[in-house]
Amino acid sequence: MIGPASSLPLLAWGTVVGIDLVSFPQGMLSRPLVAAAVAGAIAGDLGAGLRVGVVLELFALDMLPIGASRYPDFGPGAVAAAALAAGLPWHDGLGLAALLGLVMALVGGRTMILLRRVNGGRVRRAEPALAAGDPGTIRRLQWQGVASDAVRSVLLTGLGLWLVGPIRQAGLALPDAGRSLTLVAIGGGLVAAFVGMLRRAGRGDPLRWVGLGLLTGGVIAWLS
Amino acid sequence: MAVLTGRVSALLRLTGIQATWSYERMQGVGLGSAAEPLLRGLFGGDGPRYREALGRATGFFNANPYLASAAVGAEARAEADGVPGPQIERLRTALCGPLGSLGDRLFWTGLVPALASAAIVGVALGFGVWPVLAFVLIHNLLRGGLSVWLLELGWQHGIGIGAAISGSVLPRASTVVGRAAAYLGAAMLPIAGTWLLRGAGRGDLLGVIGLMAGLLVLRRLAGSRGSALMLTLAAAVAVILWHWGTA
Repeated sequence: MIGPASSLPLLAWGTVVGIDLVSFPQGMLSRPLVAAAVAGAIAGDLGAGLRVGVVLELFALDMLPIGASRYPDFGPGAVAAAALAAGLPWHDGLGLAALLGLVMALVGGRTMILLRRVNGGRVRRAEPALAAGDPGTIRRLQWQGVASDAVRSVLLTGLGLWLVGPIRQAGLALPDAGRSLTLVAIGGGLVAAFVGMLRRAGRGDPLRWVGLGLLTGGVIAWLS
Repeated sequence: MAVLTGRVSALLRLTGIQATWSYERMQGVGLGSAAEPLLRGLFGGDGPRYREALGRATGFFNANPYLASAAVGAEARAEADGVPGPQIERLRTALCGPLGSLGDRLFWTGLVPALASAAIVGVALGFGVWPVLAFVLIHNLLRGGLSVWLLELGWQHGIGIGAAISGSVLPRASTVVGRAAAYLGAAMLPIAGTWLLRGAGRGDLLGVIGLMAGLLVLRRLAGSRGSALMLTLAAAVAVILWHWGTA
């Protein structure tokens, strides 16, 4: 369970990674691998955070967070997922945690669209001041944008952390499902990363590098 | 020739270029915010030239955020050189496409997946949290260095920034990091799979392989409508319902 000593730092970290995705500073803190690893350390189980982070990162590698496109927000969900997995046997907890992280990522993506509309409303109301080159208006809009994203992120992380308890209870009610969900999450993540890699590589020269990479990775995996 | 001041402030503000991202101006307000210290240094803080240039700087703009410093530097130089306003607006619009596509190739389909894949390999090989920290550090060092360099390049070349970027090392670099992403992304898969499935029984492994084959077929059939994420969630719901039914 998440203790009171770690719930507030987890909420703060989830807010930071939520803002990082788009508003500030886009420093890769919102990548699920990073968000979950730190959250795992905060919750007292770095190993669980790393495993959850790796699985969610596999799904994130199938996404392109570009401009106006709609994409999931993995960060706050990864924080909640790592908190859920902390302290559980990994083969039982990983699937449940990944499931929570993926659902929260989709919810987070929807809230990004809402945030963009809220920003748009503010910018429309400030049109005359912007056209007149008022630096105070620009500064105010920027701060309001970051503050709105902070509110979005804290609510999203709070929802995810609130769901940890009920999902753990549900997991205990269906003990056999945990292991199956872990296998589904791993298989789905590997497919996501594979599909994303092929889409990025396209045709021709990069495909040769894909083949070489699979060969290298296969040898290292066999030796390790 | 005018002297550019306010670089540090502009670069810091560029980290928040998408704070006011909206469907109307996209990164426009963020670009204006980043350009403001440069324009203040060029024209003083409250004159008509400053206000006119700042008003222009907040117009529509959308590019890869990590390459936007080139547009900020070029726009500041064009304003300093007295280039007519409509021409500056055309410059900014014209930069959206190249800075967007080059930056996306460089970062979103190159550097980020390459570094993330390398970090996963490091974690799977037992290096703990260090590969994750290295991922964040390397990305931000490269991104920061690139922002500084592109701001200078934009300031040096002004309205000729497009040609300067085309002739720079960046297009070649995007090809190289694309190959690195393909190689590391592919190498990561068997290593991560082996690590995550360590200790799994023969039945579990066969189950995962069957699931992956099924997801790949469904992904192929569903096309862009069925992402691996959605198909995985559907499979997870099916698993839960099955266990619920047999409990």
